[in-house]
Amino acid sequence: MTAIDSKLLECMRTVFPTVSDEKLTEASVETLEQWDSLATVTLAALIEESFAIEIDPEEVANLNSFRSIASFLGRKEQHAQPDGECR
Amino acid sequence: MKLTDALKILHGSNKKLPVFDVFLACGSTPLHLQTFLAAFIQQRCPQNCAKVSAGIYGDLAGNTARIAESSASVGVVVVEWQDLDPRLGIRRVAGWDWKDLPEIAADTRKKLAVLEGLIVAASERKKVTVCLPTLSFPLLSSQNPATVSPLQAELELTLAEMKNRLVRQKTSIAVLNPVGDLGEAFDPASELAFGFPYSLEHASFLAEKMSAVVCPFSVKKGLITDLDMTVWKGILGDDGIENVHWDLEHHAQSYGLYQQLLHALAKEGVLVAAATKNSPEMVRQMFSVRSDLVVKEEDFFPLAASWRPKSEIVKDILATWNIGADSVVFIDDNAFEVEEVGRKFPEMECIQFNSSARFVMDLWSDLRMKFARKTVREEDRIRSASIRTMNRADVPASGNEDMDEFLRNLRATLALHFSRDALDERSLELIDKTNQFNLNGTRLTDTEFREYLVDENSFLLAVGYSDKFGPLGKISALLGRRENDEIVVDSWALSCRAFSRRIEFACLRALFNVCSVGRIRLRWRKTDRNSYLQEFLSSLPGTGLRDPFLVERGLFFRDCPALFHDVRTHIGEEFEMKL
Repeated sequence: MTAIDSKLLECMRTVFPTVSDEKLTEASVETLEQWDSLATVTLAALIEESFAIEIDPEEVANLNSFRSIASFLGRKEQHAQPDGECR
Repeated sequence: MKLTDALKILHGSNKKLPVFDVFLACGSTPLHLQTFLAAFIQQRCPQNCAKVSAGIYGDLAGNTARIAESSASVGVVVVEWQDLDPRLGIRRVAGWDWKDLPEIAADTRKKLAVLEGLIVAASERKKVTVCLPTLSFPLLSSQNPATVSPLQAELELTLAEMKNRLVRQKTSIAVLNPVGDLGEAFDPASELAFGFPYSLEHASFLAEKMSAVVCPFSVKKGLITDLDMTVWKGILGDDGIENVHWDLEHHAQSYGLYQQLLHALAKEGVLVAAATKNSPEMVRQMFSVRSDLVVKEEDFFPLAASWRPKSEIVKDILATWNIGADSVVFIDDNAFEVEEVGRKFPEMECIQFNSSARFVMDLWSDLRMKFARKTVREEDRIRSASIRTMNRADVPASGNEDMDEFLRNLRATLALHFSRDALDERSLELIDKTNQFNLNGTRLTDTEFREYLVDENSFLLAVGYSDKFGPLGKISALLGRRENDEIVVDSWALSCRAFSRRIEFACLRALFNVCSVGRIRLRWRKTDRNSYLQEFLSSLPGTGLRDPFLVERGLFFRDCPALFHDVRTHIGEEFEMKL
């Protein structure tokens, strides 16, 4: 598991505390009943807080599974400035 | 607080605890404000499970109206400009033609008037906290944005007038005072995407302020302060009376500010004492010679100067005041003294004083919080004086004859008020804060107090007392109800300042006489601290200390000790109850 995956999993655990790590890493809006629009917005805010990034509201709708969020964060990291901030 | 931490606090809370339920009425999506508010409340009330429910998006007025009917015990109303007129926000684009500005002003004023009415109506049933706009006024007019436009000035005036009326309401309304660094409060991206206008930082900031108002907390009763290097800069014994300072010239202004705060607290009825390791004579001279002291000798009771360990001085002060250590704050510049007193009295809040301006400003805010009260009542103002008097009045220690003679000569007056006044804050305070003479230790919220008095068979008996030594104000509160030929007493408290005056006997006599019943049923329960109440019950003719405790009319009047009070009874006009 990458560092991004670990940190993302921590965020997911905070939003979905009763779901196992195994299910969380495979979770999506379609497969996890608790994952509603409020959870999406909360998760986006947590990710912004944990990763010190800003997420464009237009991008929030695409953050609909663990895998898609992990990919998004990976791309953010690749485009990050030398001081670590993502733009 | 970080959102992560807020969520962890909520997920970790014990759902089996009694719920502390808050209704959040706002026009925006409640979102992270709801989360933060619940988390802060959970932190402040660990004995409860915090629950914050919210209403319908976009319906601030409707949500405010829902507070009264909700299951919540308190309501929080959060208002932003866009809730009053969408043209003051960014989610709707209707144009900002200069010709529209008067209409925007008129519509906003109308909305505020309606909202004010709804808040007042809700506060008649529940405690309501109001948070008026914290976001910047939108830049509608043509003016330089660094200046205030006529529209902004007009609407802020309307808002200020509304705030002025709300804080003076007799019902349970608190208007939030969100002072602090508001930083980047507005999150336009979040407002457009989710209808939530606040940055996470601002939502956390507001929620913390709200929780400080919403959560019940125990107000402290007494403050014990050191003198040297705390009330003044310098050591009295070393520097001499003329060489201790508290002014700008001597870079000691922060001590003067602290003195000012002590003086204000004393005048508001907070018990203030000094505990100093000094020669008593020198301390007396200090207060006699230095008339420029901001805090006066009469503000302190007692002014305890001694070379004994500080904890022993504090112990004597607590005995003089007759209050528990958990109701007291101790302040001293010396870390050793703070530690020593803290070890002896772990339930006492002990603060190490330092003279930095930042510390004193924070202490000011902290002490205002710890000793907060919405209004300063006559009982508060005379509290210190009455304790002083109580210590001087030589109550006979032995023999009924001595006591009868003493009480006869007191020229005591009792004012008995029978009512269903649910706004009697002093009576509720007596029931909630008194320990030694408290019938069963049951504490009531504002709502429970109010709901008790809705029943037309219920009543509140509030008792005021004065004698030749001066007034004590309202010193007893009793909640009772008629059940057939009985009066059932569900709550009863008597201030410890009024002990040894047979006031408790006078209350029972009044119940028998005014209510014309044959029996009084006291729903008492033993607590850790109501030993005085238990002694009183043991002195009554009855069937032993059982719940309920029955007082039969005939037996009571047969055994009641002589009472010398001049009793004035007032029965409230709203009282159709057949008392």
